[in-house]
Amino acid sequence: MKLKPNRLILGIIFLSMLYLLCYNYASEGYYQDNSVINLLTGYSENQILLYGHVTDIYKDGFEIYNVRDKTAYHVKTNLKISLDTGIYILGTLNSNNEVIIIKMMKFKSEDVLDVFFRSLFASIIFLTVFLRYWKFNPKKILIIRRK
Amino acid sequence: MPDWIAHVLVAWSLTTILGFRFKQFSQSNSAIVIFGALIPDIYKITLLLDSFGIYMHDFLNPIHLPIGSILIAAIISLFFVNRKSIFLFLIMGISSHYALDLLLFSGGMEIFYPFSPLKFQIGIISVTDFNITIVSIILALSVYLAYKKYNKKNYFNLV
Ligand SMILES: [Zn+2]
Repeated sequence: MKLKPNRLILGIIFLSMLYLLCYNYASEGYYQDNSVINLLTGYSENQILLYGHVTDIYKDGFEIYNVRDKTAYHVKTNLKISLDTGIYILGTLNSNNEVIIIKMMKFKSEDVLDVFFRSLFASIIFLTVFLRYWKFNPKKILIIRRK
Repeated sequence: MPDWIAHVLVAWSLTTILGFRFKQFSQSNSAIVIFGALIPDIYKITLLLDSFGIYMHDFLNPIHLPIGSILIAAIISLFFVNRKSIFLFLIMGISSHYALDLLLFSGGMEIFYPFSPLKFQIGIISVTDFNITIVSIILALSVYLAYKKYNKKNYFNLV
């Protein structure tokens, strides 16, 4: 296996640049989740948007681990929801990280499946075309043109 | 967003049309352009991560912005011998991807990030619109027929 040092160096440089870009973007807080835009209408300062999975069930509600700020919140509700369900919640935040639901939405797994199958089909077209003309040479770690 | 079918077919049609005129746009290079057209949607891996409860949308979103896609193209081109030309073909594919995505209405994209945080989108097609896929299938079929007519004898030998 041979990897020319300049390729390796360039690879590390580009990867670091990509990491910095992503890190910077995430820390600037630009990102707006388009899928929760409906939830965000009427989003005011004392309200909170949670995004995550149900991690515990209580008599008066459940616990959700919010992946946006990596904190667990106690959601007060009499809605029955099963453990591990992925949800978005727009709610009001009380003391002790207690949240009262204003709106709630489950992750749509159908959407993911739909994207997945259409992408799978396109990937097959792409791979058929690509592998017809190109092949991977593991010794040189290079993709080379087929003759 | 236009699905991968639309992205693949539009990229292929574009390079095949250019191939009528310029020999650089061979079918092997067309495969690279298609590859490029799929780069921005590497971001869709976040949907898969969602199902494992890992929220990476804000961190990985720059992959679906020109600057991030260009960096990915630069990394991919390192795996080829003719890095520069491969990089340019990948960029062409990436451009076709954003040209399609810009037609949508999905809240906009910060296409000039990190130089400007402004979001752009023409917004003439809804995200769930399947028509763009149908149009791209019709386009690709027409190009394929023209291509077959143009190069009847050596279609499968052309590299
Ligand atoms: Zn896209």
